[in-house]
Amino acid sequence: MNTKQKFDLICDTVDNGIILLDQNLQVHFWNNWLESRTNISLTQIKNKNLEDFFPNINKKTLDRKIKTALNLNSPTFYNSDINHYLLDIELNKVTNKVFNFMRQSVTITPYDSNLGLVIVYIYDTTLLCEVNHKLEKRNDKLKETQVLLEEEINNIELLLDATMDAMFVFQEGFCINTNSLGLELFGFKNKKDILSRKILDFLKNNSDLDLSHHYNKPFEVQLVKKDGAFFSALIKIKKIVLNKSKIEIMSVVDLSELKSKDKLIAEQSKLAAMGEMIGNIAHQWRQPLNTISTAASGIKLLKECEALDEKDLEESLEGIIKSTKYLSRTIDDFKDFLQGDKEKIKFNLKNNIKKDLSILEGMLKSSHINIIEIHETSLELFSYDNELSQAIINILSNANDAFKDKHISDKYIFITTYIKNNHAVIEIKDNAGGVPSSIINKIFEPYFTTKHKSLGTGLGLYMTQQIIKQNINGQITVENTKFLHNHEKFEGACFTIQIPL
Amino acid sequence: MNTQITLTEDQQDCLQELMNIAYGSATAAISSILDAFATLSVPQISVIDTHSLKSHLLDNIKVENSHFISSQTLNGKIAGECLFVIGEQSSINMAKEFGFENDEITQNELCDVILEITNILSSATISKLADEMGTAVSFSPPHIHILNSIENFDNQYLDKYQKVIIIKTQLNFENQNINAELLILTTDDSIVFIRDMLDRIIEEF
Repeated sequence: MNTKQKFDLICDTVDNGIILLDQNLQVHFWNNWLESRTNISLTQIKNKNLEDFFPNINKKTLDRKIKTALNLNSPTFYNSDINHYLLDIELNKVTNKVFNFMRQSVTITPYDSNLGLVIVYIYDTTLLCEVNHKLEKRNDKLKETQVLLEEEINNIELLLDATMDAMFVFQEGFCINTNSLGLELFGFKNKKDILSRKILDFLKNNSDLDLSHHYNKPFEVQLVKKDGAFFSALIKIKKIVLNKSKIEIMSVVDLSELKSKDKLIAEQSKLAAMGEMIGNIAHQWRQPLNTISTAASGIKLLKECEALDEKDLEESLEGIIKSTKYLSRTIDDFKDFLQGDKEKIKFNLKNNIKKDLSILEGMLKSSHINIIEIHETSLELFSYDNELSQAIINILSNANDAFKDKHISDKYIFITTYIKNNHAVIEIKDNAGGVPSSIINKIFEPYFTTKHKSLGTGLGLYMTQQIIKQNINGQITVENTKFLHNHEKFEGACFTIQIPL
Repeated sequence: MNTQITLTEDQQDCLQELMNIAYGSATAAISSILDAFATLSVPQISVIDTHSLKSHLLDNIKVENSHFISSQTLNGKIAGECLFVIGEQSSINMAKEFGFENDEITQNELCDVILEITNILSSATISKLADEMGTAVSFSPPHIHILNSIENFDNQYLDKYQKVIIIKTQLNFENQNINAELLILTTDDSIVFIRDMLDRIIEEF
């Protein structure tokens, strides 16, 4: 194989176009690759001007590139992204055609600067450009989707900000969004500050809390602000699966204001209870004080008459000692009652009721109320002894007040205890005629009272309900009931307390 | 990898001299191609750590907000990359220098002109430099990016290199307000080659 044959073989088999061209655009050589793609044979184009076959050629650019290559004695280039192509060669492709003309990357290499000859190498970059083109299209679509997505996000943000609650969104356990209320509530300025925090990071001392028990229902917790301050809040966590990722949505209602109101009510209620207690103490102390006074006066009189014998003195002193002991015991009872409980203890329900009745003894006696206790079984509770007393005393005082308005000759309060459905049940029933149906639904509301301002604060039954529900974890209901006692028909209110055992 | 990739004062002086010659030939080439008198400022040469390249570019390239960056890969003993950075207004002025009328200037035409000038500058300078050092450089076709900030300048393989030689020059045309920077970044192996060649040239003198 001689040099010419080698040259021809290489030129005819190489996978790109080769043109030997002069400065005037006259073609001196044209390889097989170009022949087959343009259907113009070398014999047809040889010594002809390239422009005659390709009138759309950008002559100005080509001239410049040839001139530069020759001048620099270094190659110049056509970039297929920018120039697209040098020769408009229609593509023979039938399917999936993106471009009509072959995309070309071109290198113009100086060959002979004296003769003004350059070699033009043409590379088919259609495939690459197609991929780029598709990528660009995808990119455009992506941008469109992005715009839509951003609008969606804006809508969600608007929605989030429009709600009354602070909202937090967690993805795979980490915070990804919140509303302005959420930022404000926790004292954050920027959304960035809360990103990637976990739910538990917002909770006080709850690192071991198992949230799975709390999904979808509101629960009360202490939350921590950015500055470390705590506040009470009601939170609800909803769990959803979105695009295969776990999303938790937490709504937070700040309870601090509500809590301080509650605290105020509790304080007012305590004061009211103390006022009532002083009344009760007065009732209860009158009798023993009378006994003491009588015994002491008796002794004094007998002494003056010099008729005091050992026996009388002994009896009178015994009576005084007994009465003072009684007074002392009642002080303990009142003190216990007013102090409240610090922790749960085990106590007997019957004894608790006995103690309550003894506190109210004076009041009940002066109102001539008969107490009838029915204890079906001996019941031991593990709860707050004094809190329960407070609740029962409130109900009994309320019954006492109900009798005051009405003129009922035989006044009864029935206290029944029994077990039902694993709950200790305390029923307190009177025959004072019952609660008017128009107000029966309201009697547990705070500041609701039917009594004259000087008599009632409207907090008694509200506090009773709070104690039973929040502290004792039980339930309290009220209904009007009709019943028989000693063949007599009675009508009254029946309060039922249920405490889980 | 050679840990002693630095240039002595002598080597730097020598390279500076060679670059002056190379830039002189580039200026001549541009002037003859465009029929306009262009000047290239005296090149400033520095060898910097690759990781500070980005901040170096940020500090040293003074261009308008939106600018074009074209790059051309150099292959051979002197391997690396030529970066040509030009602002939008300067590139429009340059296109006029290339004989385009205002209404002819499209984004594609601008890019073509920038690619062309990059090719001319890198070919003229590097070919001459390579020639002086008795070697040859093969040029890949240049590519262009439109950058809104150097921060977007992406080079994840930068860590492969320790040092880059930066040869910075400014291109000015007599009649047009054109400001552009040409940076020649070379790789570690090339720096070693260039250093050895510089030593040989220094010895010969």
